[in-house]
Amino acid sequence: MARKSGVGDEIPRCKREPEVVRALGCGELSGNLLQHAEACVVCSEVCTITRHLLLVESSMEEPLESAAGLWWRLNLKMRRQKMERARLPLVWMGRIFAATVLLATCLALWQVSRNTVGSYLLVVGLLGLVAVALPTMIVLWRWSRS
Amino acid sequence: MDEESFCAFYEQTARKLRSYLRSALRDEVTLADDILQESYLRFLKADLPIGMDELWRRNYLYRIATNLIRDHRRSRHMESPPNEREYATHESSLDEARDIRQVFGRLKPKERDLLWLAYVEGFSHSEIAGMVQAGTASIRPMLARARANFAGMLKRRGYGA
Repeated sequence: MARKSGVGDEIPRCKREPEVVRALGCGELSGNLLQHAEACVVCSEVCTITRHLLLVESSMEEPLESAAGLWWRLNLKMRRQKMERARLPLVWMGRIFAATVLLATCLALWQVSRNTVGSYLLVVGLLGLVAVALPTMIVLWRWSRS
Repeated sequence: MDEESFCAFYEQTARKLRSYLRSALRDEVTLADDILQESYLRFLKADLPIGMDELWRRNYLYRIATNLIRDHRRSRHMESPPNEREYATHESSLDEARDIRQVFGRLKPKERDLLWLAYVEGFSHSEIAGMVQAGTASIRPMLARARANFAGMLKRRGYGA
């Protein structure tokens, strides 16, 4: 039967509450449990609420997506997510590479403009860097998009 | 998890899980379906050991779903219940289940979750505590308050017993 759970605790409790919930989930209460639920404050409240919630639940029944279809879709999604994760370092590598090339080009142009080295060697070096960097960047970019 | 065991697990759990999601998300069907799918995706990604207890798996799935619901509520700030005017417009509703759904939707989100998990899904207090991220001892008073609130609302609406 319902009782207060302790000093200063105004919340009534009943030991048979889980039993009542289980029985309601399986169908209806019977015999001893029904008598108890009618007499107990907690259990009668639990019965009222559970019955109403089960009614709500039964009104929500709608056809579900097939398990096989979902399995296929989830696996596809997981594979895509794995690919995204695998591609991420590649994308960052490309970005860092591009930034380095840009920085090197700026530095070289700055040196040329100051005429400190200002030479044939620097221009050749710069052209060589662009000749290597540009195709590499394009390859990395295309690879990360494929 | 292989396809066969996933399908069996899905058949066992999906219907009930979707009802839980719909009740928690106030009948936003599309959103409930999205979260349902995301829950199973995370469940699969967790790669739980084969031969794990079925109840434990179900418990784990509901934990994922409850976390997703919480994240969604945080992002959408849908914590406030609908106002009195909205409540009054449904007063003459003849559809009992729909009417009770309206009343249930007026509860605080956490109260809805607790009541559903305890009385529809039949989870124990310790299982619910794990799902809603609260202490096991605090579930009983929270549940009692939620129950009293809902029972009071139902009574005022004429669904006493």
